[in-house]
Amino acid sequence: MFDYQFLLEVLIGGLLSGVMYSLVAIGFVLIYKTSGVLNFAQGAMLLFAALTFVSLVERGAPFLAALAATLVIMVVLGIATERLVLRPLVNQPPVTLFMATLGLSYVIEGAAQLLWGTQVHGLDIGISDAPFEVAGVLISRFDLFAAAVAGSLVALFALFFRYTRTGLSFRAVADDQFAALAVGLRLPRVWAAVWIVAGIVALVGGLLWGARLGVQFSLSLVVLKALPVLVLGGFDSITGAIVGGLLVGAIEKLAEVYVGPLFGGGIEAWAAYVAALALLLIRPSGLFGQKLVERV
Amino acid sequence: MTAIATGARVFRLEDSPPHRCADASGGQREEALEGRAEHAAKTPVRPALGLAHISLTFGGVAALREVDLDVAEGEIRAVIGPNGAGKSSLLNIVSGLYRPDRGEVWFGERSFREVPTSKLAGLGVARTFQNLALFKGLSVFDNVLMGLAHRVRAGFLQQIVGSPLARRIEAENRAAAEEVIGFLHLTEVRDRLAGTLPYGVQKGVELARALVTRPKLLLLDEPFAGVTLAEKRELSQHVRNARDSFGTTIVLIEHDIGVVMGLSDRVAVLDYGRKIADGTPAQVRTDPAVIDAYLGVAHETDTEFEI
Repeated sequence: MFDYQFLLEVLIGGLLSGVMYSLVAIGFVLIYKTSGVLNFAQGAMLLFAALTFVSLVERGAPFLAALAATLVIMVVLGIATERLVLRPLVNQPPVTLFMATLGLSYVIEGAAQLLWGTQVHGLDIGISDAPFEVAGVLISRFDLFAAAVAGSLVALFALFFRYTRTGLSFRAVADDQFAALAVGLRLPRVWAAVWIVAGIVALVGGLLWGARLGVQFSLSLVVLKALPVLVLGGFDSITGAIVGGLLVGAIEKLAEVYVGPLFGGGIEAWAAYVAALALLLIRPSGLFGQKLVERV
Repeated sequence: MTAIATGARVFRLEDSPPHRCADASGGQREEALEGRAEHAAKTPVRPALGLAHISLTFGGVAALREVDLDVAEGEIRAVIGPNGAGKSSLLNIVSGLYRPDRGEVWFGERSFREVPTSKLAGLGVARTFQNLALFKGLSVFDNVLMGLAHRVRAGFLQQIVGSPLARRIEAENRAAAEEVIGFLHLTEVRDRLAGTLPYGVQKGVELARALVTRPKLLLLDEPFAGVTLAEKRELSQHVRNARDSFGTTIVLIEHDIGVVMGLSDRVAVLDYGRKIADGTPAQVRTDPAVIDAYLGVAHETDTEFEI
């Protein structure tokens, strides 16, 4: 007999871990939507934020002070990126910009290494990973906390985009850069702002991922996890990033548990890519992505 | 003043008609209020927009040759001409997208060899685009509000916290946007996404976005291209109302002479990059050079009037 309780448990576990993927993917989407740049450095930023935070805490800084300091550093990093990398390369083809962020990701990683060294740090943000039981289904406390944090972050963004002038500028630039220039919007300023926001997302993502996996250099590889999320959800939709993240989380876990045994296990790492590839064949722009219609 | 009857609120500019005359030369009010009074007495008032000896070439092709154009304060000025006559080049020079090989552009008392695009809004210049530059995924209201984007003065933090300054500016901007939306009869579509509206209405939205800044000078790039006859009538009425109510000086580039003749105070005609005629619609219509070059001797292009 099929164990629905177990299915539910796997599904919930998958969805909750998917939230963590969404968090990384949102950083991508923000920058992609507003500047058309696929920011490969998002993972490095995440690592940098986590490493900075954990190193400050290890050096005796109180939790909140370290958080604030890291926030300031991420803001500076965001502004510097716009000034030193994006602005000189404005109007270059997307591949050039992508390569620039690839380079940037190694520079950031290198800087992190130079500043804080290469050892693995444990990060305890005070949330236990002990599961608790709801109606017979085991749920990880940490996953739930991560999901709550990610959820509030997304809600904050939604409010910000809806109700502030800067948010409106973001939406405007994302909608049509030419029109944005036409109304005299200062694109560099919007880009700087969006890199700052991406930095903040990286900080939150870094803390959660760091607490889960330990703060180490492989943390920057979570960008690779974000790619199938983006393919599924579409590169230019925040909703897509959220749903895509949840989907990837669920697919991974379900595939591992139910399909894995057929292949001798260990398919969790690549099941999401297969799903993304399959979707690409049906809907190239993702579930929520904008269809590109070129008039000829 | 009859324009107020459109149902829109009375506009502030209209409450003080002397403002228009006093500020006739545009810009720089603080810099030279006193000096200018003398200056104005000696020399004739500078046009709101002046082009002097503008030449522009693309490779070996002369797009514009020695073109002069003056636009008086509060005037509706049309520049017409067949395809490739250099109309768009002219507008792009005025908005700083092209740099002329020779000649200069005057905004009131300031002259530019190359117009600084980023300062245009500050100079009181707004424009619309032939193929629209709207935010299709934003509401009509947000689109109009974005017309004031260059005016954001309150810092980011102030916006988040909602400081009194930020709130006041925000309220003012919103009121200005509402006003213009009412003025152009867009209230019904206020919350619709711009991209979902008929083309003619989108043109109206773009006009509203340009007008929300209360520009001194408004550049319209083929405002009537691709809209229906009914929409043309409405749009041209809006353009006239804008001039009458805000005192905006309007330069419009147009292909469709029919609308232009009825709407404009003066018309300049371009052909192969040269200005071949300039005057009132009646003068231009009967000018032999215009008839030859543009209207066609054998009436082949009569359809231009119908479209």
